[in-house]
Amino acid sequence: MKPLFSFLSSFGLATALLVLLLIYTTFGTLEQPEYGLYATQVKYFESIWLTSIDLGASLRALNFPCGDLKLPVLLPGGYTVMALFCLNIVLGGIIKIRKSPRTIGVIISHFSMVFMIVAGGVSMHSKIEGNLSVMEGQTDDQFFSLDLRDVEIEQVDPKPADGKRSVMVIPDKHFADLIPDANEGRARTFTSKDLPFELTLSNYALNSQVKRAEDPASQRDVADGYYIQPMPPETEHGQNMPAIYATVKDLKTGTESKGILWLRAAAPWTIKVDGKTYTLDLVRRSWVLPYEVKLDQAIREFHPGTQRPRRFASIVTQIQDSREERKEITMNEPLRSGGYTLFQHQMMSAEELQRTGNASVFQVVSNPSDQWPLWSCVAVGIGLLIHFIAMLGRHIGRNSAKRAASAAAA
Amino acid sequence: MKTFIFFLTAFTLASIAPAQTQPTLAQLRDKEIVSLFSSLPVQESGRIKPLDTIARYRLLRFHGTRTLRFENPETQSKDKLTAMEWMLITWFRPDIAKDLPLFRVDSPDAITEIGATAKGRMEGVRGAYTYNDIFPHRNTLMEKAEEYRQMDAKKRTPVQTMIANLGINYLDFEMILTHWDLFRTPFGQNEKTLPEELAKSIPKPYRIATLIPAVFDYLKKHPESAAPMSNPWMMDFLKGALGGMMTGNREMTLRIFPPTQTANEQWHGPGPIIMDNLQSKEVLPYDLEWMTQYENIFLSTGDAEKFKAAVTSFSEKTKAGAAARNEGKYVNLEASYHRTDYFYYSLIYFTLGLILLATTWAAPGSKYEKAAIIGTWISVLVATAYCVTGIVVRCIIMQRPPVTTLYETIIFIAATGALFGIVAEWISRNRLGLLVATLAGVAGLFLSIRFETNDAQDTLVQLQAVLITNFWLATHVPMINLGYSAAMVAAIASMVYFIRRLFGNIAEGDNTARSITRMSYGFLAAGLFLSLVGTVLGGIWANDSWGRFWGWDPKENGALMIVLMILIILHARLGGYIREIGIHSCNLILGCITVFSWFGTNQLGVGLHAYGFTDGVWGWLRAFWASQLALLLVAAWLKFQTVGKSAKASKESPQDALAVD
Repeated sequence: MKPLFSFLSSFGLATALLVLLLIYTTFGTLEQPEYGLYATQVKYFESIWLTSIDLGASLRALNFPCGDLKLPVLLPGGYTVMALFCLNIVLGGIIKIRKSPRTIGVIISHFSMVFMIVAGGVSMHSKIEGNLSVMEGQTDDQFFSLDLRDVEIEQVDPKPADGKRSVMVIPDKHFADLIPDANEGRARTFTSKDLPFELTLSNYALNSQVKRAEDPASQRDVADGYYIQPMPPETEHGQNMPAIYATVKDLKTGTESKGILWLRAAAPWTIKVDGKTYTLDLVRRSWVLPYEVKLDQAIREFHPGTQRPRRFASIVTQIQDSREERKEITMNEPLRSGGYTLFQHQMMSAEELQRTGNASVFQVVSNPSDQWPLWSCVAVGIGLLIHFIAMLGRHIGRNSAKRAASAAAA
Repeated sequence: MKTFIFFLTAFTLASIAPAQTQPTLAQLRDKEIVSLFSSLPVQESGRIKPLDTIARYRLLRFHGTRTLRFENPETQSKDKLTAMEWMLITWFRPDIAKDLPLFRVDSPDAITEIGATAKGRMEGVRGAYTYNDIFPHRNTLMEKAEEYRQMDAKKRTPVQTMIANLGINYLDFEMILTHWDLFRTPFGQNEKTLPEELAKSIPKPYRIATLIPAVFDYLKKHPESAAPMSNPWMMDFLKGALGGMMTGNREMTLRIFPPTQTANEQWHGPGPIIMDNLQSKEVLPYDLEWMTQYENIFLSTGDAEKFKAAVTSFSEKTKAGAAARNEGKYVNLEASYHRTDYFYYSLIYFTLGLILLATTWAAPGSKYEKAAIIGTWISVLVATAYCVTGIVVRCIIMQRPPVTTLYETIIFIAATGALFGIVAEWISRNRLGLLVATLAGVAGLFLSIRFETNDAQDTLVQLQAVLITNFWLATHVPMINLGYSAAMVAAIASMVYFIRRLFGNIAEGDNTARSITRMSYGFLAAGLFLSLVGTVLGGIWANDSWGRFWGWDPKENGALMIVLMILIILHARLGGYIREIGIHSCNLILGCITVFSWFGTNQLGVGLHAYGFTDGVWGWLRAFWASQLALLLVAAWLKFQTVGKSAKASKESPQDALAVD
């Protein structure tokens, strides 16, 4: 046990993990121009294992002409490294470290760093994030994720007896892995006691276009004369248009019908089974705020004579339990209420404005560790300041003593 | 694109009209006249600034410097123009301006590609070409410039970039040349094509106050005449209006008339009064009053006293108009800031300090050495005072904290690097601090001047909405840049260490070497504190602005890379994995990471912190990285020697070998 403790708390492990983090941060930065921020983030910083590094893309980012050059590796991913680093700080930087007035600043800093890493972990696992678009004069409370998708199944006819909408949801963690390879497709079947059919989802494409199959025989998968054409993933956050094949099998008759669920589809896929009508749709995951937001005024100010924004702000009314409160949301001054924070994300462009009128887009975030980094920043700052001022003081003291000794000797 | 084609067509079809009045160069260069024009408040790029600022950056863009040497046709001698003098000559004596060696083109290939004759090395590698030199090849230039402008800037060759820029500069210069054409010859050489109805309705001689309403009234009755391609007189009239705008970039349009309504933030100008009202064909009476005042300047150019009186009257009216709006308070300060040229003089004093310091090594222990050290101290203090004062003046002009743009990071890091060096010298008193201060000052300010010349745009710019928060600009941004500065000072100390090791000035473990190591270690500690706290403060700002503490954006990652590298050095040293050579080698890598974070991340063109691609930065970065790689090879060679000696010592005396790194 002792050798394990020594290893996990060692400077050697700390140095190695820091080197790995530096390497991941470097390549995670250089690959962004070609792969986009989201894909790079998932590959380098949220992964358990790292299996390849694209040296070619990294060199091209540095403006060196370079062809394809992918380096296969097997290294612990960013998530694993951060977890190990956290353990290393706790064991080496808090438990094992010599406790004395000289090390108090270092211990405070280490403790704060652990807190900060934990805040990052809590944020990664618990944070909900999406966009809420509201037109001037309108009220809304539903916000949509940029990257998370759901398949929704809803019985629309006959409507439920209580009149309330009832939607069955399959989150994308259950189908996002169904990406086919060159040789074979991939599928998964879902059943529910409340449904008269079983649903098979197959051959997911993260980004796609849906095209008419001019020659159905040449396509591996065709639904109703259309097929999914996979496209290269977009590098911008939230720009991918995923699609998936859906096959519905009537449990009574065994009849099958096949359709395509596409994020960009104008309307959901409608099917009739056992005399009931259902809609199936691939949608952005959405959440509902505990209050409604009415956009009273969207303010767009530009520096005079330019298109350079000077101030974007929204005057909103927060409506909860028939209580209304008027608030202003600006860049750098979000609205924090009910566990959610609304940030002024963007205004519609001039062209969009002509089409839609004044509107504001808010980024809505719910994050339990929202303010933890602030607290840890204060603590880490205090810790480092104590340590380095003490070091500087000792250094100046030693220098003065040396000079005094030299003067005395002279 | 459409705008570009319109400008191209307008200026191709219309020739440059001759001046009605011919002021002498001496009259235009009269100190009082130049001063009046220099401090004239104008609105450009969303900011009130002196006209002098516009003149300086236009000349810098065209010529690569803020002064222009020429052969004075009146005195037949070599002479030098300030930016404001150049602009006044271009405005009022276009015939002379067209023969000024204005357009600097670095590569003769760019000139030969447009069919012109390149000036050989005897005339200087950076050939300077006049408007008239290029005029016969104007069409080729415009075609090629347009073609290259359509290409991705990152994929253009340097010659293609030069031609693309030359095309834009040439057109912009033509607009400055024709700035007064609206008053000089409003219909150019196509006056004879004026419709009779319109010609009769405008009183002669043409005066702007009656001319604009008459043209607008005619266009209301005959909307078809607004098409410039089929109405040559209209083409020339619009050409005059475009000249009034002074540039094809709408955001940089010259707006020189402060409006009387406080609700209207946008100033008016001779060009916009026509171009902005083409749809409504209405012009406000007070706009016509301003135009008349402006016209008086042009009409009096033939008489020096009247000219001065007209310029004074216009200047007073403009300043009063700006003051009534509570604007333009710092116009005089900005004009003085440009005249004082703080960073140029700071560079001179830092260079002087570096030279004086270098000479002390020639005569150690002598009286000269003591005098040179005092001289170095004075130079460094004066240089730092210049640099810091320049930064403070910029803060006063813009009413915001010191660092908001990439250019400002450079001067800030140069100033703080010098201050760090002074503090280190005060503590250690071994001249190393002075060396670091002078090196940081010289390198930083040289870089700032190169950057400004390369960019050739006003460095005092209005900020995007998200940045206009003085609290964060005063905390996160300086902290991060102080972190860069501390990391660069540590790297510079290590460069000094290896260069002195290479020349045998110092040996591993001797007092000087240990002193350099202690100093660089101290700056590593400071760098860690500043970068870490600065980065986390940035995260908190991002959390308030964008809803996330950390977004793995390249600029954020760059700051994290600095923190990680410093942590690696500190932990590896504590663990005993690196000692003197190891620490300094790692510091060199830290320097490479710091410049990547500082400049390289912007070049990637992704992320929320991307300030835009800057031509030529990769070349500088590669040169810096190559120099650090060379020093790392020196480090490897030194380590190899140390290991060799250690092995030899262990053979001779095995028990002593344990004490050697």
